[in-house]
Amino acid sequence: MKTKLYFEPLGEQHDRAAFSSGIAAVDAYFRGDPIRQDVSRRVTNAFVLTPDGKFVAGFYTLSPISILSVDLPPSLQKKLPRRPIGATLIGMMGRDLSLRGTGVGETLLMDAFHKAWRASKLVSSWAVVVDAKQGARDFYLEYEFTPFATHPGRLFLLMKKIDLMFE
Amino acid sequence: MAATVTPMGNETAQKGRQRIDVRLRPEQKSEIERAAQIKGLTVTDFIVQNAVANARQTIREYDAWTLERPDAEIFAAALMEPAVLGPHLAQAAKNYRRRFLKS
Repeated sequence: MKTKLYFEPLGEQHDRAAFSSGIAAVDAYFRGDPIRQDVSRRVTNAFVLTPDGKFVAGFYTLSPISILSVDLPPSLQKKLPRRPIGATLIGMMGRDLSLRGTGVGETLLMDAFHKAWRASKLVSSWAVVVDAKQGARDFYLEYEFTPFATHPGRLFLLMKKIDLMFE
Repeated sequence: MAATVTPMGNETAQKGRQRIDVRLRPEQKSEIERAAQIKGLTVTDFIVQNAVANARQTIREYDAWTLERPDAEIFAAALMEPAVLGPHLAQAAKNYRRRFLKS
């Protein structure tokens, strides 16, 4: 399939019901009410990759979170403020099963980076973080995310690295 | 089993409420009933209060991450390192830029 895909914010025109990533938690979130509620309450923004404004090749969500570092050794303390810092969370990401192995996941991730990077020029963000669902951890590790030790599903990529991708 | 006391005004408070049906093992149920009795709550109140408190905590932790050691160290150590892109990530970014940012 060589149709030109493009990104746009999730809207009613997208065929959410037909989407299937094969991951139950992702599908339940995207096909059901949760994503619509989260978007309408401004808890998250959702973006869709589509060839025609209807079919959903993939999607992801972005929302702000804060990270507070406590209990740092003095040698590292000067690097981080003692108050919460902003970061950008990819809360959910999924591509349609029919597009498995076509690099759609990478495209989704790069677009998420690009949007997070642009937003960080207006409202500061130190990192893109992700709460990887089952099986997705390896995918993020391929793109240089660093896992946390006590929450192995949580990974981060510093914005200063993402700066290098778009500047 | 202790009788369930229905407080006054409960009738109106019930309006607009929704149900969740859950299945659980007999021993889990009797444990919950025992705990509710100790706290002087109905089983429903006990379950709802605990589940809601747990849900709020989960949401709070999702929106605000508190990093303790060693996670805070991992994060701070990454900040100390110079930013360098590996070849795979650099190529992925290049492909994306060519495809989506050049118009």
